[in-house]
Formats: sequence, structure tokens, C-alpha cells
Amino acid sequence: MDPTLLSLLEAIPQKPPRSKLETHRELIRQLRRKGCTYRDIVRILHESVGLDVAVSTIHSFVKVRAKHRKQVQYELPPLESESKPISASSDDVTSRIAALRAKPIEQKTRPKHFHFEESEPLKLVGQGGLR
Amino acid sequence: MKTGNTNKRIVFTMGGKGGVGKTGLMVALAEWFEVHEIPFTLLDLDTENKARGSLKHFFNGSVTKVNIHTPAGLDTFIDHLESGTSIILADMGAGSGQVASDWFDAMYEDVSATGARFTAVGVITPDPASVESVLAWANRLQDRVQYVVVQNATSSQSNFSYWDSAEQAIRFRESLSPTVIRMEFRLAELENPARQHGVRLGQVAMRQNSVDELKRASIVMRAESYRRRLFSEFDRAKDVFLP
Repeated sequence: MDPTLLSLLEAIPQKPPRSKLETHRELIRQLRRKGCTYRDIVRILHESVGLDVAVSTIHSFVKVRAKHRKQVQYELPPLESESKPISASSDDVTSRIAALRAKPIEQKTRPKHFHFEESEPLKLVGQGGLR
Repeated sequence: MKTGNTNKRIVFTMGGKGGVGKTGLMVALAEWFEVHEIPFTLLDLDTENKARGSLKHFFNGSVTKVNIHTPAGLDTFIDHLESGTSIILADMGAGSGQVASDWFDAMYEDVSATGARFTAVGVITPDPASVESVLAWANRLQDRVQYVVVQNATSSQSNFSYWDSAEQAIRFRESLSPTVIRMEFRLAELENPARQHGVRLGQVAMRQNSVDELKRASIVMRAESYRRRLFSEFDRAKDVFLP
């Protein structure tokens, strides 16, 4: 990354978590793993921690973080692992170009030798047909 | 995976118009191979054809009945080629054109790369619809197969003017060069009981059947001479029937 941008990034402080559920994140995760419903979690948080939240809040909290986890899974690999060195020897390149030129182009459509229009009736020769 | 299928041929009827004599032709062709002691596999792909008059009716246990109206389509050809048979005779049912066309589009390139060859047999009668049906199939299959067109005389005075003189039929003959053979008109006294009881011409000619009306001397001789002339037509077209 550009050094200017890097220093800009470092200058921006980490924002504190906005959700009041963030401090109970691990508890919620474990409760979900044990099969608790969102309604169960609401009740447990109320009884154990004295925290009152709506069922939909718990649902959104879990959903948003689940999304984040998925994004991490599909994170792009570092740039350096994407490409491998290509031999730049002029002989190799010439032969590769020649091979590419010689490679036949795949025919996508077969040339038709015979065409018959199924919707048209047979025309007898001499009745508006051939000759 | 490419397996060698050189010296293998699939002969199939172009199942367009129903009732033109496709199964009768295939039965006679199977007999021709039998007489020459050339092994073949019979596939009955006509799921609409009732038991009586179907390929299975004439050959019973030696026929494999296959439903081609599945996503696999005609893949059964590949499986039977793999089993070692050099010739497959397949009787396609009426209305199987789209299935065959789709299968050829998807599979032909790879199957033909193994060396297997295809012969499409179209049976025509004086009815112009039978000619249209063959032309419609040819329009789909193009030069991926070799063609045999069988003129099936359904009466003693059959007139094939639509095949002979229709502009489209002429174009087909000029561009795809089908081999044309003739099936003579068969007397009802021979044809009807033979179909009814699933008796082949050879079985009539050699009196190898239990149907009294097919044992009459005149019927036996009719069967013999009819078979001899039809076999000579097959001999003429042998290049497109043999692997």
C-alpha cells in the first residue's frame, strides 16, 4: 500500500463497538451453539445481566457478525501468490506464440449442408418449385 | 476417456411419422445380419409402440427396451458400444426427433471421436408427411450420419412423387446423398398375420412358426421371394450398414 495512505490509516483511531451486546458477544455465541433461540437469549440476558433487548436486536447482531465471518473466509489471497514467473526467454516466447497461432479455432456452429423449412409444404418441381 | 469404437456402427430409424414401416424394416435388417452371421444388438427405443408390432414382439428376449425420454437421452448407445457389440440396431419411436437432435448436439463429437459411425434410416411412403418427416430429421442431423431412405410401397401402385419430385427432397438428395432402397408391397395375407403373431419373414419362409395361415405354400413362397429381393437391396446398401 502507498506509504501516505498507510500513515493516514494508522492515524485514524479504532472506534469503540456501537452495540451494547458487544460485551456479551461470546455468551451469545455459546448460547446459539447450544441451540438457544433468540427469545431464550433475550430472557437469559434479562435475568442474568439485567440487559433488556428486543429479539430482533439479537437476530441482527448475530446476522451481521455471521456475514463478517463469511467475508473473512472469502478474503482474497495476498497479491504475490497470484502470479508465477513466466519464462522470458525469447526462444520460449516465440515457440509459445507459434503454438498459439497454430492452435485451431473451435468451430462454434456447424456449417449446414441441407436446409429444410418445416413449416413450408413440399413443392413439386413444375409447381412453383425448382426450374 | 476415449475408448476405441472403430469398426462400430449404430443404425437407427428416424422416428418421425408413425406407421410407415420403421419396425418392419428393422426386423428385416436384423434378419439380414442374422443370415450373414454378423452379431448385433437390438434396441427398442419406441416407448409408445405397443407390445404387438414392436421390435420386442418379433425378437422377444434379445431386445433391450429403452426409454430415451430422460436427461440421458441416447446415452444407451455409448453403453452398448462399450459392451463390445459392433453393430447396434435401434428402432426409434415416432416423435423422438427432438431427443435425437439434442443428443447429437451434445454427444456426437465425442462419440464419433471414438470411431463409431451412424446410419439414419428413414422410411417413406406415398404420404408426403413421411417425406417431410425424413427431411426434418436430416435438417437436424446434417452430415453427422449417413442416410438410407427406404421407399415402402404400401400398395401395388405406390407413387413416390413427393420423394421423387419435391424441391426439398431433391435438395436433400443432392446435398446429403442418401442411399435409396425399396421395400416391396406385401400382401395383406402375409403381412397382417405376421405382424399379429410377431413372426419374421425368415420364419415364414422356413415354416418355423405355428400360425396355420402362414404355412400355406403360396404365402411361404411369397415370403421367400420377398425376402430375397429385400436382402438384395440391403446388399446394395451394405457399406452404410456395416461397421
